[in-house]
Amino acid sequence: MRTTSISLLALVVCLPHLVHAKTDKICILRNEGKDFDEVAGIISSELVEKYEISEIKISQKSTYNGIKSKLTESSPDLLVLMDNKPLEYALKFNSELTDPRKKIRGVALMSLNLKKRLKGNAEISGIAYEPSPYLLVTQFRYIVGVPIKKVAAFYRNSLFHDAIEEVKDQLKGEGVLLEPVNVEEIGTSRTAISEFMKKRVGPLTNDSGKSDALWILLDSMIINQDLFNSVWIPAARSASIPFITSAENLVAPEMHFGTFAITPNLPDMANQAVQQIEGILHDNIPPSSFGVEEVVSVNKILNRQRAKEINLKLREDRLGEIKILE
Amino acid sequence: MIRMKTARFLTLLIFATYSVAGFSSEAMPIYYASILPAKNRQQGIGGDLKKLNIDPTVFAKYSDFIEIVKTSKPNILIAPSFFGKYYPEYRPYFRLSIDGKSKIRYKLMALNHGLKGKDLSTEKIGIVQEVDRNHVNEVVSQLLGVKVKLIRTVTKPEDLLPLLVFKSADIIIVSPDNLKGLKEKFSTEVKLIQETEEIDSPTIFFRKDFDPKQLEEKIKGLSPSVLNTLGFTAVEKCEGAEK
Repeated sequence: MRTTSISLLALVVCLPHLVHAKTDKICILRNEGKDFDEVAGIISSELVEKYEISEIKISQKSTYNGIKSKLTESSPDLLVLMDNKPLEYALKFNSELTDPRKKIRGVALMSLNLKKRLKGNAEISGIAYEPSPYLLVTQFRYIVGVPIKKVAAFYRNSLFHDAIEEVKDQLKGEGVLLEPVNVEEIGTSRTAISEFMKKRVGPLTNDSGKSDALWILLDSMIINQDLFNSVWIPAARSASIPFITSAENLVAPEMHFGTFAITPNLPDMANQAVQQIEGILHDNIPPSSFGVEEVVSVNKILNRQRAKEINLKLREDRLGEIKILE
Repeated sequence: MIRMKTARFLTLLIFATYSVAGFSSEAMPIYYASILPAKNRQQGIGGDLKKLNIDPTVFAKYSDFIEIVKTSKPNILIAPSFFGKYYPEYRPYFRLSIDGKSKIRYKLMALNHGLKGKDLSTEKIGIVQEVDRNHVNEVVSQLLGVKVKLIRTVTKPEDLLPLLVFKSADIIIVSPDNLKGLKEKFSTEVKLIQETEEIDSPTIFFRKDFDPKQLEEKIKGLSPSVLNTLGFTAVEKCEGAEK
């Protein structure tokens, strides 16, 4: 009787500690590559003391069923999803579960169009990979010696309407007017869009009185090999306004194309992901409370040669943290 | 990853080189959240301090700074005042001051006045990470006087305002000089919700097992140009520094 009482007491005393001692399991499901290595490395090193961390790398040979059995076997409490394929697999995995309570929570990053893909999803939060045009315009404005009041952009209304409205609103607070041009005005087909672009890109980029900069939105219907050669390069040769974008290769000096670009700062993006992970696992914040956040920290790249070509005045005193391509 | 590791290794190597016997230069890592680019501050102070045999390195991010501090154990460093609480092997010796003031009040800024006077514990708070991650909550609680549920940290002050615009934070905590810098960079209007209690300004720390006499006069004699580049006007000896 006494022994039973002591055992019971010991159990009551120890139970909360035993429950607390359970270490949450995090699985990083990702593609291979240098950038993924860097971000996964930072996330792991930040969290390894508190959580059990494993990694599954997806290769070209990987199949959904193979990944599914690994996930079932390891049953992680949270997935870190890096790139499109891992996200696709995680979404499929969760959708196949009949018991919604068993759905795995996740944090997605380095994946395109996250806001659209995760709209309405309650289990997976994320960080958008494409830096916001708000950051692109404000960072660019800071380093140039001329006012940036109007920024033009070509976009597809059928896909980017909401995003454009959001950016318009953000830039309004900065005193910048975003002037979007819907390339689907005469039709949504590839041919119709090409025709439209051929007529409109040249005149818009030549008329410096109309816009102070052109934001190049990364959309395969707007900037692809065909249009790049037939529309964009000729436009850049005679352009009087700077082209700003979120792809470093478009501001490479040999391209004589873009003037300024921003790209996500990967270590800081990893830090942002760690905060979501800790929020979900440690503070029990539902992933939907985070939703898909914008990336807040960016690298800034200036093509100085291109700036000279279009006679753009720069604030030399403000170039301290800019990567300058000569 | 390799490039980052190589860069870290090289920085560490430079520190180690200056730390070995035979070199009289005293390595001095510097970190506090500043909107002034680290590169500009480094260029502005490097030459003058090297003449005093002090070899400064200005870090843009806390994580890079603390990695060097942990591995190279410098005798002198500049850090936010709360650094001493978490690294007791260092003692505060001089405070950096502006016009005779060595205390600052952080400002709590939001996109609208609606949060004025409200319970802050349920709001999303944005702040620059100036301490180890596991101490951020404690520092924010100390600054606000309440425990906050959701804190979003950034590594640089310039990332604070985007946190508000992107709705990742409802309120940001920012020092007065960084707020001035943010306003030069962004035009989005921000409103003052309240100010925090006064806290000590960035501080020059010495290792407790290091004799500060070796550097005290040099620090007292820092040129106005060095101090201005760092964003201050003078150094003041901390109360009880010699204890």
